[in-house]
Amino acid sequence: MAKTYSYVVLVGGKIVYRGKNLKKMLKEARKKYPGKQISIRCEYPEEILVAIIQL
Amino acid sequence: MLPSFNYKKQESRLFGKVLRPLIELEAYSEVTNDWVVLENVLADTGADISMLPRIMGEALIGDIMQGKKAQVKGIVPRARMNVYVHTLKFRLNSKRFNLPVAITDSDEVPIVLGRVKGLDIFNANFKKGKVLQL
Repeated sequence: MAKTYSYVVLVGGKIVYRGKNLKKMLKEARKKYPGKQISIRCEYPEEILVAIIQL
Repeated sequence: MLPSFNYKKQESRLFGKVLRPLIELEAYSEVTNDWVVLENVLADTGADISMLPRIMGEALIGDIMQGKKAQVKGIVPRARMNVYVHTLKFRLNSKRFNLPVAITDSDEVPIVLGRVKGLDIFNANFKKGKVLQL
C-alpha cells in the first residue's frame, strides 16, 4: 500500500507506467499500444478515507 | 444485466483491512481522443459532486483551469479546496452520461463518483458492505 496517492497506467491488466506525469504516460501508452484498452489506477494511501464533498 | 462491483479490500491503519466500494468507469480523454478506464473510483453518496485529482484531470482534458472555478469543503472545519468544474463524458457498460466533475488543485484526493448526475442516475444498491450494484 502506498504512503501517498500514486498513479499507474495499465494495458491488458498489466502495469506499463508508474509515475507522476499521468498525461505523458497516457499519451505514450496510447502510442505504444494502439487499439488496446488503457486503464488508469489510483492507488490510495493507508488511511481512513472519508469523502464528504460539498460544493 | 446490471453492472455490479465487489468491494475492494484495502489497507487501513485503524481497521487493518477495510472494504471500499471502488468501481470502474470509462472516461473520454480529450488528450488521446479515446475512452480510458478509471479504476478505483470511490462510489460516494456523501459527495454532492464527483471529483478527480489534478493529475487525472490534466490527463483527460489538458488545461483544467478552463473550467468554472469553485471551492469544495468536506469534514474539516473551515478547510476548502479550489476546484475547476468541467463536464466530462463517462460511460458504464453501454450507458453514457455527461458528468459534472470538480477537478481539484491537488493530486492527493481520491477519484470520486458523487451523486449529482452520477450515482443519482443509477439505482445504486449497496449490498451489506460487499457489493455495489448500479
